[in-house]
Amino acid sequence: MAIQALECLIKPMGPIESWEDTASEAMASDADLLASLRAGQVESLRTLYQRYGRLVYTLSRRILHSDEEAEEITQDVFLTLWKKDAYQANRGSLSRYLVVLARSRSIDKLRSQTSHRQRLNKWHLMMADVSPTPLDMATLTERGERTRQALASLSDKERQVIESAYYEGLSQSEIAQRFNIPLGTVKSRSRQALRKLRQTLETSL
Amino acid sequence: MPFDSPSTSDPQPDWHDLLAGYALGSLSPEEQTTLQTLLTERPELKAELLTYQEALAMVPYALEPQSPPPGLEEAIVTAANEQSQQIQPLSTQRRRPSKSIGQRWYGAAMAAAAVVLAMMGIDNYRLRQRQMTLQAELNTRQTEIQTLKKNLLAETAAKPDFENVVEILRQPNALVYSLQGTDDANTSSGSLLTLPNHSEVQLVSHNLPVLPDDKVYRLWSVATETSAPIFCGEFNNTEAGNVQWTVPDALCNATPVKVIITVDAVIDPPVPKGPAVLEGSI
Repeated sequence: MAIQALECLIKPMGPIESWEDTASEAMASDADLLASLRAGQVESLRTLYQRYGRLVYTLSRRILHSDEEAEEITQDVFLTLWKKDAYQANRGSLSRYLVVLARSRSIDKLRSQTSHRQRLNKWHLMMADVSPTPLDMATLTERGERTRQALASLSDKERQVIESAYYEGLSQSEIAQRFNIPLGTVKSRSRQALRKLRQTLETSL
Repeated sequence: MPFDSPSTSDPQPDWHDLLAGYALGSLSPEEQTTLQTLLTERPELKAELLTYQEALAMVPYALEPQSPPPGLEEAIVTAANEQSQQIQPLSTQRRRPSKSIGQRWYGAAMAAAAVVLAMMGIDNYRLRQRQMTLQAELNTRQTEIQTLKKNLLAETAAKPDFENVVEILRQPNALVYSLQGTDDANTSSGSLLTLPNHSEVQLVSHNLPVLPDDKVYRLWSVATETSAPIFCGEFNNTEAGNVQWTVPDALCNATPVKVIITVDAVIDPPVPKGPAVLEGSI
């Protein structure tokens, strides 16, 4: 999948400060924290969790629609970072590595635990839950703002196909079936949406 | 050319479309092949591909941040500590603050890995050498087997049909003519064996060459000292010097006083014309 290829190709990017816990040691770089992590400093893992735990949890929860499962995935992702030396700094930022890992594990879990029909039902339930949830965070990152704006610039239909593919790992034919649109339309629409997104985000990347 | 169309508004499939499709994981097999070719021809487009992948990876940043449960942080740290304790001796080294120890351990591990790899390399080399030696030996053995088979077949073919000869000799009335080479074939010799009123004769010879295809041996039977030779069949000899044939004339079995073997051309008429090579009498 393309998202897996990302792990090899993404380029470095700084931490998302506004996503991190206010108690984290914002001054320590990811590289320093990773170095001490590799030296067995569990406190570095704690700091990295404070920095990126919220991002990983939020993404997992969005995919799995379950607090418990999101918690499980978040723990899994950070323990993977702890025990496996799989992350390579020259292949991208730590934050993006964690995002890709969280998405991959969450979608795997989604596929293994629920049938297609169950997922459909669950999705429809979640579609009703569109009202904003109270935020623990008072601020958002500039990157987050830009991404939101970029997504907002898409048409509803374009956003729909992009989010279905990204958060649910749906294939084009599954998206076509769900929204009752031709397969060719799904294909062109999703690609067009990503092209727009890329253009809008290009300046911030 | 679709690949040269960078405009996002281009209705035709272009390389932007392929790159976006790749990032979304939705390329058809044909499109994947096209993209692979494209990236081979224009490697600079890999950077473009990266921007599509990055754009897609930005999607979750638009989510409203959700706070994980307060206890999760401590649970992860505790689990990490437990895992470290289970994994010995790595965990022991990991918990030590000294970087130099960690580095030494890492160095030792790398050295050990290098030794293992080197040994594997040597083992592989040895295995390859051994394989080559065995293959060469196998080839030699196969050649030897082929040679032995060939020799065995030759020997089997060369072996006189002793059973047939013995069977004739067992008979009390067996007729055995001792043959001696004439002037043209004075090193040749042999014995002609037959039975009275029996149409088959057996020749066991020595130094009687196998004739070329256009030549043939002919046996002539001489009933009395003054009788004309009677044609008693033709044959070619074998390497084994053992040959059997059926006589065409009943008179051949009339206990001749003398037998003569001549060499004739295949096309020669069956008259006693060719030179005699063997002559014999009872």
